Amino acid sequence: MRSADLVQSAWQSLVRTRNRSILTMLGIVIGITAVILALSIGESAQGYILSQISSFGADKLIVVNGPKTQSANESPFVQETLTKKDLETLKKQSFVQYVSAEIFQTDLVSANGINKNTNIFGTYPDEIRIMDWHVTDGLFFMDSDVESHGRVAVLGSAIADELFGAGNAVGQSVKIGTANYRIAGVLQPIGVQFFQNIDDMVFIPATTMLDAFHKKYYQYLLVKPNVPMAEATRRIEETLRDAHNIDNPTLDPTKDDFHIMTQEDAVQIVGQITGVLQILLSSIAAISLLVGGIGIMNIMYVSVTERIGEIGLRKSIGARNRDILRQFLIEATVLTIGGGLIGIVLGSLLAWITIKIINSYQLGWIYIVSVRGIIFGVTISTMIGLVFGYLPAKRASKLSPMDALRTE
Amino acid sequence: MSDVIQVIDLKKQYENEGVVTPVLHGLSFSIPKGQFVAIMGPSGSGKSTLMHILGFLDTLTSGTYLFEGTDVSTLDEDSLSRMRGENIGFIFQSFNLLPKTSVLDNVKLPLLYSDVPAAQRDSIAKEAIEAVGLTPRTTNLSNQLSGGEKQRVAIARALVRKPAIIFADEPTGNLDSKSGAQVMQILQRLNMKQGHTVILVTHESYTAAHAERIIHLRDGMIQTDQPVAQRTIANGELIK
Repeated sequence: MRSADLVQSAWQSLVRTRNRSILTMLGIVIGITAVILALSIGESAQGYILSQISSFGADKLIVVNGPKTQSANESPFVQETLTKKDLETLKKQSFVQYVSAEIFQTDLVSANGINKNTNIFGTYPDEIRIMDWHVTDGLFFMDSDVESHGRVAVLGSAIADELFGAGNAVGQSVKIGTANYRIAGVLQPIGVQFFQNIDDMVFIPATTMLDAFHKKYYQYLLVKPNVPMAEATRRIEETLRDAHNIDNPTLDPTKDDFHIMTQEDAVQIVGQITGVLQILLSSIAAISLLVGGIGIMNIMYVSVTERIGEIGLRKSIGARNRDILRQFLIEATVLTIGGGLIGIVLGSLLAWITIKIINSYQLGWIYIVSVRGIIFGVTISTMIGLVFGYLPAKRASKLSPMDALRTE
Repeated sequence: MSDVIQVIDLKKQYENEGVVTPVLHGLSFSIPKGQFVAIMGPSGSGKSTLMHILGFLDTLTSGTYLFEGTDVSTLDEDSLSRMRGENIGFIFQSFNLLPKTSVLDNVKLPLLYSDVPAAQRDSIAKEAIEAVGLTPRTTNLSNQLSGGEKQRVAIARALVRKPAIIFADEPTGNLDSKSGAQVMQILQRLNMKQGHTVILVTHESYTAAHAERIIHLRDGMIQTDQPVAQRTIANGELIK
């Protein structure tokens, strides 16, 4: 039998039993939709996270409290070690172009009778040089403000507009927690960077921040070196070990009380996390595909039993066993490929809607159609047709034409 | 006239879970080309089994079956399928048409398993449909037909590859007498005018009387094998 005839025969059979065909396809449609949805959202999430990390830039290093094992095993008892003295030591090094500190804390900010809970960012003037942020109105606070623990604040563009209206913030006073701060400047609109909306933040000197929140240590030190990253990493480690009196000739990272992260490290960690996430999501989707496949097998078995007479007839007019086998296999495969294609369209559409919804809560998500998911979906649905269609098809082809004709 | 079928000491037994059931106990006969033969017998006499073996749908246990001189027992399954397609046209009691499928597509079905180019299939099928007088029904779906019409479609389907033999297994069993007469008339005409060999399996002597020769089976053996003295000529609603 010619392939064109086979495909046509299979198609006619499927159309003849339209309702059953549609129900059979449904299992595969749902399975493939789940796969595409899971993979597309997974890849969009990965894209979002990576774009956030790349907004950090490849030319900076972050010094984090505690040894590397600490961030791997998250615990509430974080070993804190980074001080103002460490920052000053680093600042003196010839390989350091800029160095800043970072402390984050949420607190109530109020002005003009408006209260808002927002992120307070304790830092140094070098921060905006490292991050390449600019002040549109007024000035950023100065190193002397950090030295004097000054009550001076710089506002993100959105919070400035919210509290004072456009262009009116500089020179005014804002209350953070219980203390009043003079507003020195307002930043340009920056948007979401490294998962944080910079425009909603209030910047104050890191030293003032330590006082206000009764802290002793900085959360991060941000370094922009003027030497290659590997060399900078090594030299920061040497400098800080010296400063913290750590004897670590074997360079064992667990002996340090700090560690250094680069963008590359972050990308690697994110890759691992999202990889695990993708496997998890795909496994769930794979289970639904398996269920769909078993559904196909079930229906195909019923179909063989129902069509025993037809199989007998086809054999009586000259069909060989392999003609019957092929026809049933093609029927199963057409069903699963059809279901797969519908699933791809539906999954992509649902992923698009989902990303739209996420985007209305968290800016910066980009819709990515998972090409991997599509290839995966088409391959898997074809495989399911062949694998789960095979046993029933084999059974159909092995039927004795005589038995087949007798059963009516 | 040369023999299209020659059977010598044909035996058939079924084995099911170690229990051997003999069905045919050594039949010998031959059927010359162009003969209209009826195989008769009560249920369980082995007439259907015999038809299935003669039609290559089943294999024999021992003995010899020569079809146009070829020993069928030596053929593999694929060759048997090809032989069925090329040489045999089957007509069944229950018609076995594809449901919800047009008359044309039903009749064309055997051509799908042949080497006939797709472009010629329609015209060949339409010829066969015309031979059974169903041209106005060509595009109707099989479930829109009466029983008699369905059986005529089945006859057209059996004819479409111009087989040497037509096997009809109780072709009138599900039909009223008028439709049955039409079917018998078509079979007789195919036999007399176009020289097809027709083997009719039936348990009704009235139907069997349309043949030239009747082989009576009883308990897997030939009881009688005689020519029909007073042959019935079917006189259904005449189809030209």
